[in-house]
Amino acid sequence: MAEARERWASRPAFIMAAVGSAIGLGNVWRFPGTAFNNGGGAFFVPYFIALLTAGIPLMIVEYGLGSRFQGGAPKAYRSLGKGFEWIGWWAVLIGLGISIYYCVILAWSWDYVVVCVKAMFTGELPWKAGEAGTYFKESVLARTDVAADGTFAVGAFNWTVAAGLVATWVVVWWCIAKGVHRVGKIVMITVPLPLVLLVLLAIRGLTLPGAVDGLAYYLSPNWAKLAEAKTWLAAYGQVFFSLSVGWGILIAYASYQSKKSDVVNNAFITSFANCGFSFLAGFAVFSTVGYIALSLGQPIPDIESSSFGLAFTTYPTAIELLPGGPRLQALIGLAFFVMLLTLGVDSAFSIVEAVSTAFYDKFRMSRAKLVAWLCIVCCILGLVFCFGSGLFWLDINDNFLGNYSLPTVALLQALAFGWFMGSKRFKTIQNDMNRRSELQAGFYWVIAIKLITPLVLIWILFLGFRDLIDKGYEGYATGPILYAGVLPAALLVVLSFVLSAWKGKGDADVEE
Amino acid sequence: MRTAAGFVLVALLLAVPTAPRAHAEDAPKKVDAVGAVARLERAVDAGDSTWENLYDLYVKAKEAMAEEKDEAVKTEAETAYAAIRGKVAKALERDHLPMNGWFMGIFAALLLWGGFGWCLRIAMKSTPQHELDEDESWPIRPEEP
Repeated sequence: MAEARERWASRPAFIMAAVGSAIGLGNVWRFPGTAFNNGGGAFFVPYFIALLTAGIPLMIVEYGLGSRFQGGAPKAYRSLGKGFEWIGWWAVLIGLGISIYYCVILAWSWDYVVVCVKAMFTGELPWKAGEAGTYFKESVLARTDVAADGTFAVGAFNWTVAAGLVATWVVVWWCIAKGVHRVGKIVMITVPLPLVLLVLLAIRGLTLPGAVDGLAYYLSPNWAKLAEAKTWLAAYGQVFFSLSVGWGILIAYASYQSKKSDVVNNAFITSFANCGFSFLAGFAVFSTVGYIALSLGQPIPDIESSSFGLAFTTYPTAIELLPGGPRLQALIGLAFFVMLLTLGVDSAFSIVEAVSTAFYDKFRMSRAKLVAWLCIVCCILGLVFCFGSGLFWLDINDNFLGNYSLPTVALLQALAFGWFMGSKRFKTIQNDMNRRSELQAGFYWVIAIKLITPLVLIWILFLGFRDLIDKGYEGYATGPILYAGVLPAALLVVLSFVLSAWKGKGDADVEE
Repeated sequence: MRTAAGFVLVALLLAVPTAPRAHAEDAPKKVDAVGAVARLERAVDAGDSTWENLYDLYVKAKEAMAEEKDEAVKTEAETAYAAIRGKVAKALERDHLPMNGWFMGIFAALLLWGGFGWCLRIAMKSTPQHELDEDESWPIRPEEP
């Protein structure tokens, strides 16, 4: 007989952990930029529609499966049908692949945290305004350059980034080694802390000259954009990537809840909290962007407002331009990079938790050993990204796992759940969720899961693959694309089939 | 039936080679990156464009520069743009948040605050997680037939 499953200490602990997983770097560096590029304030309309018709319905499915079948993604999907187990494995393995480079980004943040702490004592930041990009490229990354034919040298090994990477994995290991009980305590710090720091950064940003100009770009609606299909795709893409749906994380987290716990209401709370954070992040980002544009005499859209550029070039530039002297500048910088770290760490450990839950359910191994081995292996694999060419490997890897593998596995999950497991079983699960939920998953949820989500994902994938075939990716040569993109993505598919075919001790506990 | 199919086949065979040509003739001539930057500069200098028109020209100039295949033209366009960047920044300045911007910001904030608050209020009333496993009164609602 299976031993009693671990439980979250309380409902708020579960919600905080789920919110911590959903809120990550993307809320700060993806949402504001995406909103700005897709109609500013008008973007909120498709965004809320996407949230209600795809994000929340998918989250309801994940919470429902996790708590009903008391297992991670592979176990939950096996319970829906024997042939679906590999989909669950693929989802969590993609997450694991992403966590390998995600922790490297956190390692860069460690570098800035150390630099800011040092600057608080020495009173001198190591970069000047307008040189933050060069500092990131040369001092933090020691980056090589891409040749005209799209190839690049491997470059020197960067020990500072490697040290940051080891530190990140030690933190991740420590957070989840003792199971969800400890996670529940940690998220009570790692979720509110970045929120407090974000509010402080937003207040600082909004009190700077030029801030309102930045906000005008963020909030002023361009209604014509609503007529463009790509605006709607961007909204759905943002919702899918931001809510951690499709990674198997939420299934794993929900599996540590009681079988009788609420599903629908929890999904709404998590989603609204995540979106509220993104919305607030836009104020911190665009007020700062407005200030930089005014200070440097550049048009606002010329300033990078998303991705690595925002975090490691735009913000450091803003820090250097801030009034109040170097020590205060360093303090603001510290607040920003600690916020990035705390945002990233709980997302990173949630991914590893999803994988360790999946392995534990299948093979009944010792949890502590399992988590330790996962962290060690991922840390070693992550060292690849510590070379001078690391950013390019990371970029290619991210594109294939994030833009192709993840939507594909999310589509398979929606199809398996919505169409292939049978309407009787679908109805049973829907009834089960509704019996224990305050809010009901009704007709709109069925339409969202069966029609809207699959169609939008098919469309996103079609456009993505068409672009890849037409234009390639960022001018990289075929070799790096194959080694860092296609090969790892394909390997994960093979591995997921192997793992699902493997007989494990935990297979006997699967409810079919 | 065969005749109809034959007609369709012939029509398709005729249409295929002509279609791209006709399309190419109809398509407006693509403005190169240097031209796009020049148009932006003329509009900024004239000073009579609305903010929206100016921003549209700015976006087109940036897109043209990003998509330009000819390296020489690209460099020329980037140099021309760098020279006018200051005045473009000035022309694109919005030193106040327009009314519709305020509206969208407040709309989004209210929706999120209201939605979150409403769900949280319901959550506060529900059974605590740790008591659920032992709760004999469950299920809350009878199973639907």
